Amino acid sequence: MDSNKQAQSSSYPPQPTTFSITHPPNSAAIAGTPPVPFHHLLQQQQQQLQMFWSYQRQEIEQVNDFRNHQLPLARIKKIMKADEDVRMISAEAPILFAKACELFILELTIRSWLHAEENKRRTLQKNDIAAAITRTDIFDFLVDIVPRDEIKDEVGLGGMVGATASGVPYFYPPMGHPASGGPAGPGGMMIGRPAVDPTGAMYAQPPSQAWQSVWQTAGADDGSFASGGSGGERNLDGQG
Amino acid sequence: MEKVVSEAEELPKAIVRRVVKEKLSECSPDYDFNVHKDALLAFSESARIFIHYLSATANNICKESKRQTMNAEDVFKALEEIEFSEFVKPLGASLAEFKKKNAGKKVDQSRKMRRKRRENRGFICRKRNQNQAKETG
Repeated sequence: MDSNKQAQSSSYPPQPTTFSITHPPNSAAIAGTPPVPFHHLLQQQQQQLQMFWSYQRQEIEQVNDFRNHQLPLARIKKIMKADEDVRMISAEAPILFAKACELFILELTIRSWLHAEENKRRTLQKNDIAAAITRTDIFDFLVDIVPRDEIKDEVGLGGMVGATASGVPYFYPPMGHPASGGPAGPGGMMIGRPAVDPTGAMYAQPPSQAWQSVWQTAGADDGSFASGGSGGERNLDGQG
Repeated sequence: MEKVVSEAEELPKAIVRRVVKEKLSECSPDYDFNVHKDALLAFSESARIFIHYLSATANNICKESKRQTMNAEDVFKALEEIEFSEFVKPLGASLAEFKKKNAGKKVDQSRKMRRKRRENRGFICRKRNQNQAKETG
């Protein structure tokens, strides 16, 4: 009976106890049942498994290499076609755009990171990106994306981070109109920052803390923000 | 749930995030850098505007050459024009690699298909024989 059982078990390869059979103390007790054929079978299976998995890995790696474009070509094409002037695009174009986009994001990341490092931060914030855009000439086409209020340090407000929002609705004074909607304090003062949108239409969000702190301290530092003094070299074609 | 049709197609946030974070970990390998949610949006937006900018420039170049279809050459010229000429080389290399991989892929695909079909035929034959054997046996 014992030998029958042993003979049976040797024909069922995938059992949890198979590993013990490679060091066969029991099969040695089996009279006349050679452990070698089964051993071969097991080895074969293991080899096949190994081959299977290494092939799978190769496949995956290949796909990853190819997909280093990452950005979906169809989406890029849609974005391009949002411009009605753009009609027909060759098949290569979206591929180039995908890579160009990636390189662009890398550039922007590096420059934003620099700004964050300068301010001893370890979190990349929107104002870092804003600074990168401001500092880099070739990023001029992006000036419209980030509202002026994000560019805190440009106005020399270094330590003004975290000014509390008083909740008072401030309006960006259009150029030439001295503080039409502002508080009484800074009365006739003009905020001389070039590229402020005179219509104020671009800024849907209420002015951020940076601007409020400007107003709040302006009473004390009257005239410190002389018109046109800061960043006069900035490109005024913000709307262009 | 009402489907809101966004006015502008956006780039997938996950991919933008991955690109940014990988670069950041390169820039500062010693400590983790985080990216604010708003900053990610700004990255996406910037990239989208960049596509528009490059696309419009390339399109103009294309039209100037009296062609209808924007091609790779137009894009390269456009990059020079918008002062992103340092992109030209890596883009060229990337395109060449893509073409190479795509050509190879096509051959592999057809080979795989043929093999699959052969295997399936073999399997079906075997099954048929087995069934026949069962019926007669």
